[in-house]
Amino acid sequence: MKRLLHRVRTWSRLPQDDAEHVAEVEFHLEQLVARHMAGGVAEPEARRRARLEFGSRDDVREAARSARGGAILDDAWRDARHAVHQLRSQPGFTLAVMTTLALAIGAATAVFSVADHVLLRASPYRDAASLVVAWETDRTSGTTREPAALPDWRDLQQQVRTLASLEAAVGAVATWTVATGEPLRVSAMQVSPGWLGQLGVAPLRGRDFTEVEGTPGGGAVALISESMWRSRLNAREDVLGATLRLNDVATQVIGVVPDDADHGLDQLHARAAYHGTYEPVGRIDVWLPLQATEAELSRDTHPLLLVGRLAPGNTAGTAQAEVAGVMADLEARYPRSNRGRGAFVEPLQEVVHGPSRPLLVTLLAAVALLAAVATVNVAGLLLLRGAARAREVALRTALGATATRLSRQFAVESAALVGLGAAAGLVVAWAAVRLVRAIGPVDVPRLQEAALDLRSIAVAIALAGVIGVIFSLLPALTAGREDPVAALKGEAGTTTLSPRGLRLRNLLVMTQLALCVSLAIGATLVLRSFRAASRVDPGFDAAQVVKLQYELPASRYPRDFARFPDFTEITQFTERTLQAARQLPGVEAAALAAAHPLDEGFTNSWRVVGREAEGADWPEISVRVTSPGYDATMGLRLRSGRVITDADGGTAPSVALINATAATRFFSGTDPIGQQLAFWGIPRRIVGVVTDERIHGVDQAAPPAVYVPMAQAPGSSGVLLVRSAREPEALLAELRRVIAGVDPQLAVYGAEPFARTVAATLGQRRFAMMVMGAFAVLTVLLALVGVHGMVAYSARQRTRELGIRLALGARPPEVAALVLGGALRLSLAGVALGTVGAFAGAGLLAQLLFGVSRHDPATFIGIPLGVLLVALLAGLGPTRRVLQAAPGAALRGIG
Amino acid sequence: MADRSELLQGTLDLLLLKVLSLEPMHGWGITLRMEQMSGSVLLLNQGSLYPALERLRDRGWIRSDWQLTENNRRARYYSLTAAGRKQLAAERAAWKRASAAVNAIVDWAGALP
Repeated sequence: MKRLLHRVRTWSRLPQDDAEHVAEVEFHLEQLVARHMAGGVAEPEARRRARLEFGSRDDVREAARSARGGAILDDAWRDARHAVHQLRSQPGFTLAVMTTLALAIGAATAVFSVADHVLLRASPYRDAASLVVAWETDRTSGTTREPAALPDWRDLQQQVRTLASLEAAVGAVATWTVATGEPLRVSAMQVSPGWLGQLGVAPLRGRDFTEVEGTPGGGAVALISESMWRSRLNAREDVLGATLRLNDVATQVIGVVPDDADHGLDQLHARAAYHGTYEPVGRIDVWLPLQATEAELSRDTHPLLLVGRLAPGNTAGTAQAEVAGVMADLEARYPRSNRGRGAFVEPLQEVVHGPSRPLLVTLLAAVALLAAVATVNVAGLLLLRGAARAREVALRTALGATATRLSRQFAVESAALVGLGAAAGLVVAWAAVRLVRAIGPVDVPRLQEAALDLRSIAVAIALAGVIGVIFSLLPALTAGREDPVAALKGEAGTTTLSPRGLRLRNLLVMTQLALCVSLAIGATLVLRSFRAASRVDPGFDAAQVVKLQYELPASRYPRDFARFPDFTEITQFTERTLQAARQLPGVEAAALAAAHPLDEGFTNSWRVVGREAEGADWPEISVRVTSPGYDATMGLRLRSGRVITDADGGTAPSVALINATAATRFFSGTDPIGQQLAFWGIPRRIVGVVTDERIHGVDQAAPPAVYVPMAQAPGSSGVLLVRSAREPEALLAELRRVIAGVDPQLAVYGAEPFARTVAATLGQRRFAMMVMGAFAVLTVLLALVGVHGMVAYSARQRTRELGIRLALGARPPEVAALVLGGALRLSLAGVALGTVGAFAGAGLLAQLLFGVSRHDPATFIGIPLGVLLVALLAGLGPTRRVLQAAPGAALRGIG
Repeated sequence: MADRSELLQGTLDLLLLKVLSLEPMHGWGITLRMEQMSGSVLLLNQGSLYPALERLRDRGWIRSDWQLTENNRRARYYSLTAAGRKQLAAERAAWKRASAAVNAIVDWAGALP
């Protein structure tokens, strides 16, 4: 420590020391001159002699400085220059190492950056750990995460003490009529007045809702998002008090909500309220006060997302117990609406991150494997190069270089390699993060916030540091153990690993193969899952179908339930739209529906007429409201009976179709056709049974569903579905004009080929498949390089021996088997290890898998065999070369 | 200047410490004193003197400070530290042992049993 301080002091005084040294030397020279002159020599001659005697002043100064310890900086510089020279003199090696490191560090950094933003980053919400979601449960259907009813919420709010607050929100779509141009659809959320305050979100400008604004008739006010304020309103300073026409109501803007206040709750809500993905992804544009009355939202309707904050000293568990108790009371008091209803309270973080955690954990594991393989690979390369440089080391040792000096130089070289690799890796990571944001699944919260920031750069540097340390330990493990004499005697160009180095290298190759096999098996399982999921018959035909969604504002499309189903304006809209769409050239079929086939839509309690008692325990049924032509448009197939036709109008007898699942589950042994089912108090005669549509997603089983004619159950939101062989973009443009022709004030959204909608629901699978597939290909390539290098090396080592064997009559195939035998044994061991590891670790993947067993025999046999084969192929090249070179080598005595 | 002898390797430090144990001296003075004490046999090479002085200073055995010479010139004077004194004693003892051993061999006159 004292010495270190002294070092620092000497460094800090370097210039001053030099000046003093110059003065000292001058003094010395003066004295020498004086002595010569005293001996009778003239001054010029005396000076010349003195200088000669003293020698080079620079050399003396250099030597003195070196003795002072200031030379360390000089040495480092020299080492660095030497390192750069070394790396440049072997561009192939340098490029291989750099690329490997860049890919590994880049991939790891990118995946970390994503995982960091999605999973690890602190929530912007105040004390997010104490936020919980309170769901209702339904014992009859077995659902545990159902939104709550408005009256239930009010009761809970008043009675529950374990929650300091309990606020409610419900999703809505708002149409924003702008002064010029097409009306815009904005994603909106109706919230109770305490919603934002409970989360700890303060408006950027303006104020939050007041209690009065949260009651029916409390006024038309709205908060808007920062992004909407900036992009749509040019960040106008006078935004507060401005009036926007939302859903045909003049609404006053009272505040702006900062964008960074989103912690995935919006996405969660989007999932709950919009049944999947929606545009713009995960952003709420407008907050409106929840002003609903119990008349509008009865105990039968369950639209509310309830978020609460735990009172001090409580957990989700204690809150669960209390909320469940209150729900049990409500069940007793309101048996008609609340029968079978319970409560499920869980941490908000769990709800937000739970669904994407398996994906991210899998990716983190995959990238860790990739990084490990890359490190092992580069370690192998360095090891071999270390052996190749044994001569250099031996020579320099003989010339007096100390071990410290040499290992320092190697360390500098490793550091330069790792540093360059890490720098390139950051570039790779930057590109990868951008790619992830572009192609990543839309239902992963906060994914769009992923960026290469200081945290991820720090991780990249730390990773590079670890790799650097491993690399600088390598020479210590092997170098210095080489026999310098043997190394010097060895032929130029041959490389010899010490037995210890050889063992280490074999271990590296084996590890590499093991990791590579595990990753390849994981990737294959994910790939097979994706294929299984995309090959499932979803019950509908998405090809050649486009969809456009719309929402009919209540102001112009009133729904007076006393007149139901005679909603004149809505029915007129649907009829005129459908008629115009069908007249477009190239349109084979067109239909309107309340929800497209991958939109879960809504469920309702129901009865079969005459079997009311039995039906009390039945789960709710999915209600699918469709116009005639839906079957032709979506490829819905009829099993028995008939489909919905134009004859099933508002005044005609009420009819319904049921799907196969409902028929099997509720009508086993009887013919459902002709029987009546009832919901909303209206009995409807079952006229047909259709095949199942997988409305919960193509990888989820179809729920029981009932199809009712749109004319007999008109609603405010809908989707126009059109089948046509025409090019989608042009068709969509014409269909937009069709809707604008019927109602120019309407905002159209979600206009896209339906195949794209289907693909988006497979987003997480596709993403996992693409990333893991890419990683798997990379590791297989890396393992190939490793095996190739190993075989080439060992074959070259044995060239002479093999030559002699050949000369003595061994047949080439036998010799080849000899060379490949070692590689085969190593590969077998590595592959076996990897297979066992993958078998044990496959549980990690469980939640990503679909339609394939986590221990799928084909994968667990095929991939290891494939990798083994590839490893052997990698060894063939060097084996052949050595067989060609061997006879000559035996004669020349090389080897 | 005739008859210069090379310094035995490793002895320079010992000699410097010894010379400086007599009194603080500047570099030039050290050369003169060595010349004088060795009967002009050992002549110091400046190329090794100053680095050696730096090394000893670096190890904390000597320290340096600027003083005026008898004829009013500024020069860097080196003097022994306490650690230097200890080091001198140790090196001196080691040298005595080693030189006695070398002498014993060089001057060997007896017969081996």
